[in-house]
Parts: sequence; structure tokens; C-alpha cells
Amino acid sequence: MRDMTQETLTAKDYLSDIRPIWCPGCGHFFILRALAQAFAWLKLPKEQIGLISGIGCSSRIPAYINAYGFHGVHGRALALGTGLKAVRPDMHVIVAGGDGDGYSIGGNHFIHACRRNMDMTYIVMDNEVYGMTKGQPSPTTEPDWESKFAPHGTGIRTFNPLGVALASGASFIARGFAGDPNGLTKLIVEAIEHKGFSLVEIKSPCVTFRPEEKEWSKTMRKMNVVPTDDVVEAARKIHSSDGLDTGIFYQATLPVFEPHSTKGKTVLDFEKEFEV
Amino acid sequence: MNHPKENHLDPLRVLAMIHAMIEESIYHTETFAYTLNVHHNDKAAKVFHLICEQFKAEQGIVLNGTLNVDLPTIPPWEEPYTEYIHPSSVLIHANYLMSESEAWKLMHEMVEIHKRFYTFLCKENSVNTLFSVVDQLVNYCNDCGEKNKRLEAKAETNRSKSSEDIDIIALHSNEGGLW
Ligand SMILES: Cc1ncc(C[n+]2csc(CCOP(=O)(O)OP(=O)(O)O)c2C)c(N)n1
Ligand code: SF4
Repeated sequence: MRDMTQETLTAKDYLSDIRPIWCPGCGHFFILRALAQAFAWLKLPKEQIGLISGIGCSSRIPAYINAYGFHGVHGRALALGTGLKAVRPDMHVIVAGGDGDGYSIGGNHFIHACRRNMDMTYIVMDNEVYGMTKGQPSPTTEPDWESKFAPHGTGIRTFNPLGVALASGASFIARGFAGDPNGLTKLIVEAIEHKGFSLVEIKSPCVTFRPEEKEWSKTMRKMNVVPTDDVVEAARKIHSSDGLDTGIFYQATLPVFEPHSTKGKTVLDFEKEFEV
Repeated sequence: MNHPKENHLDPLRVLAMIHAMIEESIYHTETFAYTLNVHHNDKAAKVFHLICEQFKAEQGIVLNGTLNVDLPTIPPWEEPYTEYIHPSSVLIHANYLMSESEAWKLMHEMVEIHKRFYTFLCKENSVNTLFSVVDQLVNYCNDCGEKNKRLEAKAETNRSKSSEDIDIIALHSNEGGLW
């Protein structure tokens, strides 16, 4: 996958002139940098990258990357990314956003994107809260996390994105940590190189609304998971993990959905198909 | 993570790793200085800016020491030695309300990460060819360390005299003008 014929680009070349304005300390900064490092390592041609996001602090990420990008609609990033991949299978489609965007309002798209197993990468910057709208609980928030918006906690069990991805048919499932930039860069590289739908769920502290998440820098285990292609073994690993393990939980070769109707067709051909 | 120790002692690989580490520190201090400014914390931003300039000077030493040499490309996940910590990892403890002295504390930690790497290299006998660059880097870090301590102490003195603090003292004192 790494194209040695490409000129050497550095991470800097993949970052746009717009500087991030996330809160100082926010985990999203380190994910942005890891993404740019991964692009540089893979020497991806900038014009071949499509970075699609939804809405949220995390979803601002396309503005900061020097490639094609689309800051979409809340919860619809995967739908947009799927459309892009369908018509431009030659492009590297990377979809990014938060846990609110992807697992709450976008939860249904998440399940079906996994099931379709199209060749794209989904980066979820999971801070277990809605950061942009000032701290409401998200599907990954613990049931007893008390805040102004949920004074007694939500009382609802947390969503397990890795478990749902596995059950739905994703072929690459990993968890990373924003505070381990090196491990994270490696995960993103491997996810992009993987043929099929790759989920990289990244624990990314929201230092403003969940300052206690800074503790993750002490508790998260760095790249301790050994990958497997056995779905039962992967399920055991995912469900027995306390959420602090990182690495690839599952990677397998599964049928990839590639809409044939788009191959070699021009816009005119499509228009003809719709003629009545 | 890989720690292919034998590779580290290849001077060019070591220099490439030093270069990559400094590059990361420059990027992050510059970016955080910007976002601190955006969040109206100019005092903390100034500290980040200042340290960023020092990292740039460190990078200058490496570039001068490697003129006309093509440094190898190292996988961005490769770590130079087992106890290595990525310099950005301390920044998770930044916040937009951080005081100037908290900013100094974080910046000291980042500089320490650089110094630990250079000290590790100094301990390795087989890197003689690197010695002059690493030696210059260690000296530079030590000089900056002294200078930074003085600046930090000055900031601390100014802080205790600032009007903000005087108001707070006044608020809490019985004779305070604000009661
Ligand atoms: C259709 C719609 N519903 C709700 C919102 C309000 N909204 C904006 S961002 C957001 C959640 C953001 O949380 P997350 O995706 O986890 O990202 P973060 O800000 O934490 O990075 C919500 C509910 C919206 N913009 N559009
Ligand atoms: S509110 Fe939270 S998620 Fe948003 S930028 Fe700030 S720290 Fe990051």
C-alpha cells in the first residue's frame, strides 16, 4: 500500500493552514496529528483522500487536513462516506467524528456501514460525552456519570462499539488512545491498509467537560491486544475487556461490497439509467 | 512498540529520531500556543511560544549537524528506547484556564523528555559519531533550563503582585475595600 514512487511528504504537508481551536489538552489534537503522520507514512496522494465528518468538536477535523474533505450533517458522516466510496472507489475514504455523532444519531448508519464492509476507515474520537453541545451524556457514557444534564446519571448501560461492529460485520476492529500517538498512528496506518470496513475507536479525553478522563493517560494499556481473525475469539476479547485495552481486536478477510454499477461509468451513463 | 535497539545506534537513524521528536514538540507547542491565544489565555500561550522557539533552536543544531546528509525515514510509531515517552503526552494536562506557572511546569516536562533522550544517547558508548550534536543539544537544553527557571520565578513574583490577586486578597480580608 505504501507508494514508494511518491515524493516524500511529511505530516506537515497533510495539515492545512487552519489551526485547530479545540480546548487546550483535548485528545482530538493528538488524533489529528496521528492521522497526518499516517497519511505521510503511507504517502497517500492528497487528491486521493476524502475525509468526511459529521458534527461535533471532533468533526471539525476535515478543516485541519490538507486533502478533500466534507464537514457533513450530524450523524450522517458514514452515509456521505459510503456515497463517496461508491462513486469514487479509487479514493481513500476516511470518515471521522465523535461518539455522539457515530453511535447516537448515526448509530443506524454505523451498523449498516459495518455490514456493508466497504473499503473505508472510520475513526471515532470517543470522549464519552457530547463536547460541542457542552457535556450531555453520549451512548458511551457510564450510566452513573452525574452532570448538570443528567443529575443522577442516565442509568442506561453503555454502548459497546467494538461488540456492535463485530456483530454487524466489520472486518477490522481496533481501539486506540489519543495519549499514545505512536501506537495510534500505527493503528490508523493498518486500518487504512486493510481492505474492508475498518473501525478505529479512539479514547480521546474531553478535558473541559470530563476532566477526569485525563486519568486515562495512566490507566489505558498501550497496544496490548493481539489481533485475531477468529470471530469468537475476538468477541471474547472485546467483551472481556474493561475498555482500557488497545490494539487490533479483530482483522479478517471478508467480502467487500463494491457497487459494480459505478465501474467505468460516466455521469452521462448514470443519467441514462434514470431516464424514464 | 518496537525498540530495535541495534538500529538506534546507527547515527543517522538516531539523528532522524531526534529530528522527529523535536518536530513533534514544535508542532504541538505551536498549536497549543495558538489555541491558548484563541481561548484568551495569552500568559500561558506566551510560555508555549517561548519553548517552541527553543525547540526550533534545538532543531537548528540537528540540521546544522546533518548538512548534506539524507536522514532515513523512520516509521512514526518507532520509539527510540523502552522508557521513551512521546513529548506530546504531557499536553493532556493542559487546559484553557491554566496559569503561567502551570504552563511552565508542562513545558519543563516536555524539555525533560528531550533531555532524557539525549542523556540516554550520551550513555551509549557506540554513538561517538553523534557525540558533537548530542553534546550541543544537552548544553543547549541546560542553558535554556537555567534561563527558563529565571523566567518562571519572575512570572511567579509578578503573579503574586498582580491586581487580580490583590483583589482576591481584598475580598478575603476583613479590611478589604470590597466588603
Ligand atoms: C440533527 C442535529 N441534532 C443535534 C445537533 C446538536 N449537536 C451538535 S454536536 C452534537 C454532539 C457532539 O458530540 P460528539 O459527536 O460526541 O462530538 P464531540 O463534540 O464530543 O467531539 C450535537 C448533539 C445537531 N447539530 N444536529
Ligand atoms: S469541549 Fe471537549 S471535545 Fe470539545 S474541544 Fe473542548 S475538550 Fe475537546
